Amino acid sequence: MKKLFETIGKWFINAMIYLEETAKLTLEITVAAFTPPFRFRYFIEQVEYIGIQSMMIAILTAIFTGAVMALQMAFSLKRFGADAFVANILSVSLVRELGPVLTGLMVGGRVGAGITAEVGSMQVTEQIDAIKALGADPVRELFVPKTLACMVVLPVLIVYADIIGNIAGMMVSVVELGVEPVYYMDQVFRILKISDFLGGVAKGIFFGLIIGVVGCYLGLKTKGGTVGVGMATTTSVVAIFLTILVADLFLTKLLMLLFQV
Amino acid sequence: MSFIVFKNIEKAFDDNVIYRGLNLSINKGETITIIGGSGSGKSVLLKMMIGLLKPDSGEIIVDKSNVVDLSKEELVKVRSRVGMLFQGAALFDSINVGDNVAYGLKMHTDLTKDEIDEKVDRCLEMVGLPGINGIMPSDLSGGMKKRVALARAIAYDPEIILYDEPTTGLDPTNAKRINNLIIELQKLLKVTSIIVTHDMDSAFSVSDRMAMLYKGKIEAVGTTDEIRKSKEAVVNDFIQGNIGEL
Repeated sequence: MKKLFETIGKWFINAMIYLEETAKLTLEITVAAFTPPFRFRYFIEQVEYIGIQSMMIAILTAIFTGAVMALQMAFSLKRFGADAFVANILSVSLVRELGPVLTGLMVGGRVGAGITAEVGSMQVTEQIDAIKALGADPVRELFVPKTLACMVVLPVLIVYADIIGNIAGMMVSVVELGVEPVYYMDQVFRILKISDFLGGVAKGIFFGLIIGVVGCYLGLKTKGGTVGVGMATTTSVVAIFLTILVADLFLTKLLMLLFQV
Repeated sequence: MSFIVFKNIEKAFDDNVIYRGLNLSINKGETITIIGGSGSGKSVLLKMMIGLLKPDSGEIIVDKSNVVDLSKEELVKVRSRVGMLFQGAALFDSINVGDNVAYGLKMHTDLTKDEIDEKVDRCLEMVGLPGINGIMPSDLSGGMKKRVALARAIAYDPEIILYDEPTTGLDPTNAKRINNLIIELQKLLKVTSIIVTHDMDSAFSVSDRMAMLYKGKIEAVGTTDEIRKSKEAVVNDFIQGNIGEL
C-alpha cells in the first residue's frame, strides 16, 4: 500500500514538474518570438519541412476518417430512418473535433518525435551547449522557429483535412446511400457555421504550440546517448498525444463559451 | 592578480558529489591542464566557467566578474571572450564546416559576409584544413572534426580557450597534431588556455602548469616539473598509471 502511494506521489510530482517546466519554456519561446533578432529563414525552412513531411499523413488520415465515419453513420442512422442527416453529423464532427484532433495526433506523433530526436541528439552530442558557448540562445535559434512552424502548419493541414474528410464522406454516402453529391454538399454548407471552422483552426494553433514546446522540452531533457534519444522520442509521442487530448477538452469548452454554441 | 578564480566551489548531481570546496587560480596568458580520473568532474569545471552549469555554492571569477551571478545577457559577454573545444567536437551537423566556423563570428562581431568568409578561411588554414568550407561535418574524420571545432573556437579571437579532452579518441598522429596546434595557437594568440584531459603525454607537452583534481578538490597544482616530481601518492599513481588509491 505504501509503495502504491509512493508511486502515485512520484507520478504526481513528475507531472507537476513537467507542467511547470513546459510552462516556463512556453514563456521563454513567446518572449523570444516577439523580440529581435528573428530567425526568419530557418522558420521558413521549418514550415516547408514540417508541412511537406506531414501533408500526406494528414490527407490519408482525413480520407479514411471521413470515409469510415460516413460508412458507420450510413448504417446506424438508416435504422432510425435518419440517413438524411449523415452529411450534417459527419461534417460537424469532422470540422469541430475529428479533423483538428486526429490531424494534431498524427502530425504530433511524426513531427513531435522528429523535433525531440533532433534536439535530443543535439543535447547528447553537446551541440546545445556549443550554441550557448558561442553566445547564442537555443530557444531563439531552434525552438522558436520549430514551434512557430508547427503553429502555422497545423491549422493549414486541418483545413485540408476538413475539406478532404468531407469529400471522402460524401463519396461513401453517394455510393452507400445513393445521395446526390450536390444535395450532400448543400447539407454540409447549411449546417456548418464559420465558428465551427474557426474553432477547429484555433485548436490547430494550440496543438501546434503543444507539439513544438513538448517536442523541444523532451529533447532538451534527453540524457544517456542514443538510448536516451530513443526513450525521449517515445516519451515525446505519448506526452504529445496526452497533452493534445487533455487540451482538447478545455479548448472545446472554451470555444463553446466564446462562440455560444 | 589571478585572471580566473574558482573559490570554494561545491557541486553535486543528486547524490553524486562532484566538488567539495574546490579552489583554483589561473593566471592570464598561461596554459593550465587539469588532470584527473574519468568522472572526477573535469568537464563540469569548464562548463561552469562559461555558465553552462551553476555551482551549488562558491564563486567563479573571470576577469573580476562573478560568472555565477551574471544574467543571461551578461553571460553572453563573458562567452564572447571564451572559445570552447568540446570533447566530441560538437559541430552543428545540419550546417557545413564554413558555417560552423562562422557561427561565433556572426554572434559576436559586426563583420561583413566577405570579412567573415576571409576569417573562416584563415582559421581553417591555421588548423591545417584549408578549403573544406563546403563539406558537412558528417563527412569528416574524428581528428578533422576536432580541428574544425578548434577553428570555430578561435574564430572570434577569444582571450580564453577551453579544451575539453582535446585528444581523446584520436590516433597518436592526430593527437600530436592537436597538441602542436594548442602550442602554436598559444604562441600566436597569447590566450589563456585551460585544458582538461587524462592524456598525460598531451598534458606534459602543452602545459605551463598542471592541477590534479581528486575527490572534489584540487589535490596538487604546480609546473609540469613539479607535478612530475610530486611526492604525493595520488598524483604519482595517476601520472604513472598505477592503480594505487585511485
